[in-house]
Amino acid sequence: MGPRFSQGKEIALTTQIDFASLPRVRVPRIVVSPRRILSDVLSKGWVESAIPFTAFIFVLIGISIATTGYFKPSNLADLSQYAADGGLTVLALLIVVAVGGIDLSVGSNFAMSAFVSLYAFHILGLPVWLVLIVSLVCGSLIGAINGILAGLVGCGALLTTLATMITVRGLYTLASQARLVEISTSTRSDDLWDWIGFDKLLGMPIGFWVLAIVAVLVFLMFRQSRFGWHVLAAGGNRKAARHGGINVKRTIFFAYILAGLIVGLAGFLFAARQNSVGSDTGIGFEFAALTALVVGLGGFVPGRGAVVSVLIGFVTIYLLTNAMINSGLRGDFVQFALGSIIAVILAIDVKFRKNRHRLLASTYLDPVALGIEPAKGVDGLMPHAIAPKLKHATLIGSGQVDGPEDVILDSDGNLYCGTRDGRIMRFAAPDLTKVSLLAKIGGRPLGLAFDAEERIVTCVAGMGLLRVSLDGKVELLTDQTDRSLFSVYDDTTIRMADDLDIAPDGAIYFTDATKRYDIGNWGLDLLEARPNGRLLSYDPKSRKTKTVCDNLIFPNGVCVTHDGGHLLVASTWTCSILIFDLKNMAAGPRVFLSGLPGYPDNINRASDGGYWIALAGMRNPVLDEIMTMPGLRRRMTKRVPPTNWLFGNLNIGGVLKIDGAGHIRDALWDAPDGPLYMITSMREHKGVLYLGGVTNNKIGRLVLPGANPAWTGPGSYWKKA
Amino acid sequence: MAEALHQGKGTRRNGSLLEYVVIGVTVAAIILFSIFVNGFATLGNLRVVASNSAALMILSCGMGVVVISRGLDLSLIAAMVAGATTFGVLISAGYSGPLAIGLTLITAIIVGAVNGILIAYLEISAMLATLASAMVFTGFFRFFVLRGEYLLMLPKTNPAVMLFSTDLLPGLATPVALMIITFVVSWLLLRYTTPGRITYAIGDNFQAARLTGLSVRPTTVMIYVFAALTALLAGLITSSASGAVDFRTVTNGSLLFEVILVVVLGGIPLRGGRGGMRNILVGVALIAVLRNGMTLFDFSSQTQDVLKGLVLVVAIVTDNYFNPRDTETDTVGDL
Amino acid sequence: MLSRMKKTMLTAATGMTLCAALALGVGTAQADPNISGKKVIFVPISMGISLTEGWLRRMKEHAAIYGYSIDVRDAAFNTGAMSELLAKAISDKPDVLVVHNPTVQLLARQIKQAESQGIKVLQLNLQSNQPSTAFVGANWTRIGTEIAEDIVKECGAGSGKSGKVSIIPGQLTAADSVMMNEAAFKVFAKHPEIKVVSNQASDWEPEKARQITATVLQQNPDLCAIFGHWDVHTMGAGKAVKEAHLEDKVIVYATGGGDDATCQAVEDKILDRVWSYDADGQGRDAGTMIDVLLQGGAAADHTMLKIESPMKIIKLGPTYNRNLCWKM
Repeated sequence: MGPRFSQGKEIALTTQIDFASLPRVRVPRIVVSPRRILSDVLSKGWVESAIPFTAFIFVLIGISIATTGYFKPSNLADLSQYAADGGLTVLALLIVVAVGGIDLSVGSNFAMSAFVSLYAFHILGLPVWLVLIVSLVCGSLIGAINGILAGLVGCGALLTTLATMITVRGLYTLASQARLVEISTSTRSDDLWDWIGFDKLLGMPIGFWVLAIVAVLVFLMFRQSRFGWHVLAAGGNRKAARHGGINVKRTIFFAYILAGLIVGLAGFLFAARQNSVGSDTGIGFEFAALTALVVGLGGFVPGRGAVVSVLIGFVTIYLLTNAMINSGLRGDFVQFALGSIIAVILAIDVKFRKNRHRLLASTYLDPVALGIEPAKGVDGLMPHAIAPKLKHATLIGSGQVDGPEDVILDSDGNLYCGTRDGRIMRFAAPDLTKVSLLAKIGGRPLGLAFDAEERIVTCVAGMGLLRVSLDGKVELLTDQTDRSLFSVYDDTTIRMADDLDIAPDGAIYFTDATKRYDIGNWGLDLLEARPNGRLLSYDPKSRKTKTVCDNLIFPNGVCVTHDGGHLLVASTWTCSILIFDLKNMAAGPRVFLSGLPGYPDNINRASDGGYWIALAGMRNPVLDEIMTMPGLRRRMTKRVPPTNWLFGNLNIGGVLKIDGAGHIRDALWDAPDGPLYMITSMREHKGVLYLGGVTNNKIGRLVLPGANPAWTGPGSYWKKA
Repeated sequence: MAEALHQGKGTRRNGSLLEYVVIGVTVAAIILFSIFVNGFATLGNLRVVASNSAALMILSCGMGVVVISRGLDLSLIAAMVAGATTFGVLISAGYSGPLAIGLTLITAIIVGAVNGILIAYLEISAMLATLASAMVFTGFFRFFVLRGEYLLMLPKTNPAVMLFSTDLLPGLATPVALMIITFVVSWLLLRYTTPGRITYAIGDNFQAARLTGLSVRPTTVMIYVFAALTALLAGLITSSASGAVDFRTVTNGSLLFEVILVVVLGGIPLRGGRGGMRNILVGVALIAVLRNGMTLFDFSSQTQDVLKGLVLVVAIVTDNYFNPRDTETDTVGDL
Repeated sequence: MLSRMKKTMLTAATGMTLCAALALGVGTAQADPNISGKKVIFVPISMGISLTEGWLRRMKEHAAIYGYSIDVRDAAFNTGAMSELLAKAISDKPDVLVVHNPTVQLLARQIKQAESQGIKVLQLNLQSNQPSTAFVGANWTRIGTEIAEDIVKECGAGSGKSGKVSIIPGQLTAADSVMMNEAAFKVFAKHPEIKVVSNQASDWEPEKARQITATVLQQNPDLCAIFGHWDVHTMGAGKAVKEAHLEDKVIVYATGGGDDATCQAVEDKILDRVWSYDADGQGRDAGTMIDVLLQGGAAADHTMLKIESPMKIIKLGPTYNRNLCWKM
């Protein structure tokens, strides 16, 4: 016994859908949930710096309470003049740490460069610009020694720079011992030298501007330049970087040179400002810089070029020390307080980092109550009432395809399907036994559709919307849309493109089933039951992607109605089919069909003017009940192992046949013992129904007695064949 | 399997090559100094070398154990001065020797435990934790305990002070005796006790040690307490010998780097899990001989620093040549 | 934890303010209305050493009498931090700025800047290249010369001794060490029988001085004198001499602020002769100078007002008196 068909397609095709009389669906404009905001914030990259930033705010508040006039512009300008040396050193250290090393020699290098500047200025009497160059050369030479040993030769960075630190410090002391008196008694003065050391430009000291410029340059280096990326790659994973074709040793070498150069610049600034060096100049600089770096980065993290965080850490430590000493506290007490504060910041930060993912995991799933209309309109059609018709389906490509979520046939009768491993396969007409590869796409191809030029347009989970011509050429149409309003999480990327259909004007309508979960754990979206999905459109002419309707509950199958005027969209977790008016999409969806007995997946046209709806799974009363209990679902996912969760019955289902007005006419159920399970799509072609299932390894073929033997999909859409 | 075993053996032999190089350099230095420096090869000078390197050796034992566990203790010198400060203040306040020593021991244990807890339980990396704790200890003991930069002239009438600065046996100064005792005790602890073996396991592969069920956290605390105790001992010897406790020792930083130098030159890799007390002996021997010889040469301390730095560079490069890092398994965290 | 730390800080800060207020309260009873309420900022190399603590004590006594305030900005032996603190101190516009120079040049520009803004700068113990309103302190060249001459007298021709001298500077680049060494070598140059066998810096650490001396004594058991540039680290050298049982043969010279520990060391024969510039007296001189400056005093020809600290030579003998040293 075959499925029941409406008599005569003419009648069916003229079935008018009375859109205005259908019930409206309330689609929320924005979804606000504190837990979701928290989890979105936690998944942000910048939250890594949350603890240092909080500490910074605390320090600012503390200082403004405990002192008066500390944040006067004049005082800040004074501070920034002296902070520049330290700030530059921290940036230099950041570069070296980012590449996976460390530089203990920054203090010695700083002192040496300052001395060399003074020597060049006072004893050699060089012009100031040449003095600058000389001190930069000095700094980078010391950097180069580190770079050769730690980079090119490959010695341990800590020891190498320890050695250069001791050696350069010794040389510095010897040199300054020999020449310092001469330098101290030199009377040379130079306007430019004094201007660099003491003057202000636009109200701020020169040192500040130098620091600002260097910070911006280093920031841009890490963000925009090839070298900066190589540094981060080498710091992130040396092996991977080398296998990726990066010359790791050379990158490390240059990173040390660059760091040395910046330290040389800091030494020059110091020399110009102080016009002298002391015997302890630069001693302890490496630890001070390391401390600031660690507070800013929240630990010793290679492969991160977080310029802003590190500067925040530096400013925090700097202000804290400076304010405490200036309020008359003794140096040793300040040291004690500072050490304790740093230890506390580090401890909190370590714990925060460690537990962040745990916290994220426990807050990410954010269920909400969802009441589902009881099943209706299927009396006498339920599995217990009728025999499972899919039992009689024959199989195609058994064992040759893995997970054909959707199947489609071209006008010549060749069959195409996507597979789990990211390929589009083709079964050649007429016997559909020979499988060949049409295209390798990657991702997870789901819904398929033919456009007017008979090219396959496909939704690929994890990638977006792609077009595959029948000669196997793949082209990405779109992978992002507009960001939704007030979203913390950047949802521009299309995360799980699911199904599509093409309107007569060529516009492609497709669904992004959920913005919060990947294809691997779409099941969690059911437990969450929030409106996480959206309907998007892509216009091939303007190549623009638009969000047509945001905040739908798992929008899945898409089908343009026979008259080309409306769009059917399956909303899986609500067990209903929504309908849009293609002429007025802004009016929003209305309910075309609700109270389905199972979870609708793809929708496709039938030859008689009706539609086929794949039911990926069947509802059950228990799940319907717990869908109204978000707390229970949340507790369940936190406390019960996933294998024991109450979940939708998503391994058995079938296909519903509805007429053009949305009445259920027939049901084709899976047999409990196979051969087909979890049907996610079906296509009618010349009197035969082809069935795909996202977890199947085969395609079903069911002859439809009484169906129009000439009807084909492309024909129905594009009037071919 | 056999091949792997063979390779393993080979690596170990290469690993200690640095040790032989350093021994060679030391012997060469001794010969050179004996020929060219008047007064180097005398028994008196040997005694000076031994007593001058007592504190360095004791500190290096503590640091060595920490490095074997793949840690680093940058607060070692701060702990040393902290212990000496406490002892000095208590003695000056008229406490009896045993009581002062007892209270100082407790202080040292607390200092070590603070490090251990920061590292083992709060999971801050050793270098950063001790970087912060060094500031805390220095600030705390200078501000709250000593209330000044230095403390001079420990009352010598106190038997406890006398003990540290006199000869235990004729010809054997107490510092030297304590150095030998510390060395032997550290060796025994590392070699024959459970925490000692766990120390190697932690240094070799922390995750594996933890997953095997070894008590890695208590052991880590013990390691840092041990380091603090050696620091205390070194502090007592130093302050008794020179008659002063001085926070300059911390701020100058050179002693800390010297200790790291000893550990590394001796052949204990910072990657942990390898090496033993023998390496400390080798490292101390080189540094002590170099320092003594160069002082006799009347090299200024800066020239000495430059030469020491160069020796370190040569040692690192030599070590790297004989035992290059495996670029396939080299991870970024290895400094 | 963080908040507790803050609280401690605040408590400490409040305590300090209270102390200052108390000092003010005592002072106002007999205050000279002209200068009460004026502001003095003291920037020492470090607090917690007898030198600066001794100065501060005396300066505070003067401040209490006249009712002006003295703020301390502790650089804690970090000269880099010191220049920052000085910049902040200048922007706070005190009436007198008391600066403890670490070198002759490092703070010169800031001293000039302060003076140009009308802040009177009093330099303590080491005079910068940059002249300012006033200076109170020792004359290092004089000390170096005097000690060297004394060494020549003890070890030079006719003394029957070896003439071997070991010098232990704090740091070879530190200004006082440089000046004392220069002066001493100038004297030694005239006396070729004096041989400087060692001139190694101790980084101001007693232990380093001890190790250097122990080694030097091995090579030169006939050493005649040790010239330590600071009494604190020279005590380490003295201990080494004592350990070698040479305390009767080697004369240990030192110089320092002359607090109680120095006399103790001399009595214990750790040090033999100490040229003391008497930090306590310097503190009083500085306090007096501040009073004068606050009352508008200045050198008539706009050069520097100077008070050179008189020397006290502390050595055992008929002139010895424990009162040569001062107590905190």
